Amino acid sequence: MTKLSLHWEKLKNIMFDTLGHNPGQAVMVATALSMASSSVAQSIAIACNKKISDHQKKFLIPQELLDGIINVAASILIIGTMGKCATRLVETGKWSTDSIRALIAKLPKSVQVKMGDSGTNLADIFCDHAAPEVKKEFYTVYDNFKFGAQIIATTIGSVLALSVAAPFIRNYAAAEYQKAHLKKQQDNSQSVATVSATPIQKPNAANYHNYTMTAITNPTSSLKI
Amino acid sequence: MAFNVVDRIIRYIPAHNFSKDQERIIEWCGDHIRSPEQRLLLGATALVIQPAIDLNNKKVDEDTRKVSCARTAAKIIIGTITGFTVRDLCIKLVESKSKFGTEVNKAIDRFFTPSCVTKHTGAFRHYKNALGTLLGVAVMLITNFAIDAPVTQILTNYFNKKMNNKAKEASNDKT
Repeated sequence: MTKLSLHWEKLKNIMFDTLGHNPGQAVMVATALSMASSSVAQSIAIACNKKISDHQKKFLIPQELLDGIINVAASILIIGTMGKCATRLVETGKWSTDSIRALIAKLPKSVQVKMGDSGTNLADIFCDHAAPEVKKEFYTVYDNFKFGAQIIATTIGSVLALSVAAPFIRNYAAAEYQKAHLKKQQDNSQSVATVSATPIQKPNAANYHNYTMTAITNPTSSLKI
Repeated sequence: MAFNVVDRIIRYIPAHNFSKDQERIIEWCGDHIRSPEQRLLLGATALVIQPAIDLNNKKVDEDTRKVSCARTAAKIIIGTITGFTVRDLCIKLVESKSKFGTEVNKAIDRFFTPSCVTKHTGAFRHYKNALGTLLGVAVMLITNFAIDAPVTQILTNYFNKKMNNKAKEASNDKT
């Protein structure tokens, strides 16, 4: 076996230990990465789209970049938290099933299980106290229930975070950016217009612009055209 | 720290005991909802909600609102199609190359199989799905630029044109 294939075998076993027992984390990281790369690609596409005006690009590009940032943050915060909540609810026994309760009844009477207590961990209790055949049956039922609860929680979390919360936040922030940018642009164009309207004055020289303007705006003055 | 926050949240969630039927539904979700299906669900809900949010964003002018709505709809449609397809194909690829024991015909068949795996377990199934998803993300780093972005641009322009034509027709009808 070559060195490279040995490393690959080691890597596969490490990945199996991490991904096999906690696939939710991998999916969350994957979602965040794909959102970030998609946002960059879409921003480049808007910048290159000749059919979208510059004025609209000033809203759409920040909207897209903010979309990426908010999506990544939402993936980690909301989806991650919801997944962990589901795990803890099952681990502590706050969310349980008839089958799990039936298996808890098979534990030795000396073992006290406080269902829903934050210090309770059903997996640890069964690992330490259950008979081998009960332990095996428990882990099959418990793992399937825990994983199902995690999947449902992360799916609802991703819909809430990415389809509802993220668009509101990014639209608000992108609109503020567009407003600020347009105001800055207006201020610049106003100052350019003022500069071009005022003729260059030589020191101590007669000002023809002021002379004509006074004649027009104040016809009663002694200055007549 | 993270668990403290989670423990505080779960304090407010009521305790519940699921019946046999409910347990079966939860287990079915765990077995059948993989990352491609999650992407499909996310895309479907996003397509219903997000363009409506963009179209009712009163903070920007009407033209920007329309372009933003057209772009969002186009991005969701293309993103969901490529996201689902790439993830699904990558998971299938990992599954086909994660064989062991008598299933192996060629050496490549066990390319993704960890040496510690000797039987089909839930953990092995989760590993194949998660590894396929990660591989899918790596592929999507390319397809985001090569497929998603250019096709979104074409579709945005198409939707935009349609919306403008409709608006013109409406104003002509009024006059």
